[in-house]
Amino acid sequence: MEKQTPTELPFRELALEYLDGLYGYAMTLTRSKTEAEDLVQETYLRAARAFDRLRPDSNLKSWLFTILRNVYLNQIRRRQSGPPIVEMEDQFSDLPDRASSSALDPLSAYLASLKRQDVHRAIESLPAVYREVIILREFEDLSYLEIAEVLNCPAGTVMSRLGRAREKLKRVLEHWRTDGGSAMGEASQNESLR
Amino acid sequence: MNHCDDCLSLIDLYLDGELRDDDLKIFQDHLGKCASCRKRLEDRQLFLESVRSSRPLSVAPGALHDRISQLLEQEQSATPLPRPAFWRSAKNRKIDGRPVAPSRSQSWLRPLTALAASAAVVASIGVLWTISERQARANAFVETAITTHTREIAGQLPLELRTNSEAEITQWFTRKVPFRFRLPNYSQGQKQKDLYTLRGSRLVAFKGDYAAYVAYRIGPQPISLLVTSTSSAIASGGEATMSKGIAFHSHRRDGLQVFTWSVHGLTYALVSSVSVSGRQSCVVCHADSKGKELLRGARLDSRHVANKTLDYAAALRKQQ
Repeated sequence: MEKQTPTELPFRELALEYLDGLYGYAMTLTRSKTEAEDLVQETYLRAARAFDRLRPDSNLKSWLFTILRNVYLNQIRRRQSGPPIVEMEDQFSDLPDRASSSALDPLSAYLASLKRQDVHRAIESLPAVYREVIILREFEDLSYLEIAEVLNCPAGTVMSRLGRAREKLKRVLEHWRTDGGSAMGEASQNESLR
Repeated sequence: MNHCDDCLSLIDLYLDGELRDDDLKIFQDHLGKCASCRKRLEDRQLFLESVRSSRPLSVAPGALHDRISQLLEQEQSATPLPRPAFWRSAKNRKIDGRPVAPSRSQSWLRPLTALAASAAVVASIGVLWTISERQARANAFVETAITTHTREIAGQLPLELRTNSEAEITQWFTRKVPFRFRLPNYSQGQKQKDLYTLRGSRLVAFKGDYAAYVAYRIGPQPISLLVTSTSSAIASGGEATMSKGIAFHSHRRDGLQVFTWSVHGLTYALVSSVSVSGRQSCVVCHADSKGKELLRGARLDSRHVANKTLDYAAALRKQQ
């Protein structure tokens, strides 16, 4: 049977729509502009060569994110640096979960006034496993099933991981609010964990 | 569901639109009875709004875009196009299982006929593909508009900005969407201001970028407008009505009425309940002379929401 492409539009036009999202995800994984650019470029080249094998009913966006993650994992393996993304305890794991105390709800007013950069820095401070699931859900609007496809894990894992990631993010933000902590400081502190 | 602990674990699923059927109903029933869980839901919603309103996370450097674009162009030109199916079937033509060679008298014609046939088939396929792709994108835009409208009303997709100010919304979308988008300002001498109540806005992912979602209310009925660039979708399909050079496409899906139109590089989808208005509301809606003129130029049926759409489109066009 002749190979089919999911659409008649050139791959370039279709795929470049996702450049910003892929670049953001690559930055989340690599934390390096140079590496992120190389990763995105490699992703597009591989995707272009495999595009005609993509099933017509496939989701191009999640397919591209899947390729990017696989390319990244392969690069890491080649460098023999061990698994790139592992569950790890972060510095906020022993914080009291104030967010669950809805009676006080000190966070609401604060969150409403949060600046964009604060949120980004708080995300940066999270362990990698949580960062990427937050990015894929909150910034890329992928469904649980699509995220599961990208991360190559069950949808149930996505659900639980996303829940934990959100809780940690919330606690980080609240921690900064109550302690007047430095976002940059937290981010760089976490960087050393990787 | 009797325990709030169960409810807590479902709040994220609910807000992510992952809760369906019986689970959704049970959850909503519990919410209706439990003020504590409603509060938790509101808090979680506010938190997620804060996170999502910080989009985008990053923007790829322009040089990277150009570099990848060039590489892909080279890649495309270096890759031979898949041969059409007829060519392969003709090449492998068999009778009773044996390959059949072209006759000597026909053989000289083969290159020319194959070339002509290839050109014709490629041209036909190209036209059909273009049409089907355009339709597919138009349908996807309508689907996105309906889904967003439905989920926003259900509280699953919260508004990122809650305001009744057109100016605030216009400002909020600046640099967030990849196109120039301005809401009509009804305070500028038009009578619609009292008719529509602006509720707020949010970003919606569409075709790899963000579309602008604006929520209104006409009386008790929620109405929403989704806007994207014509490079992402062009209004198409449904029942078309021409007015003042703009084609309005009417679609009915899932009990909702959707009107789409494209003008000045933007494509709009206005979603509302079919039973949103009566004849009288048209008079109110189109009280101004421009609106009346627009109405005269349009062949409208009894779905008066169309009148509101036309009026809204006129206001938007005036802003361009």
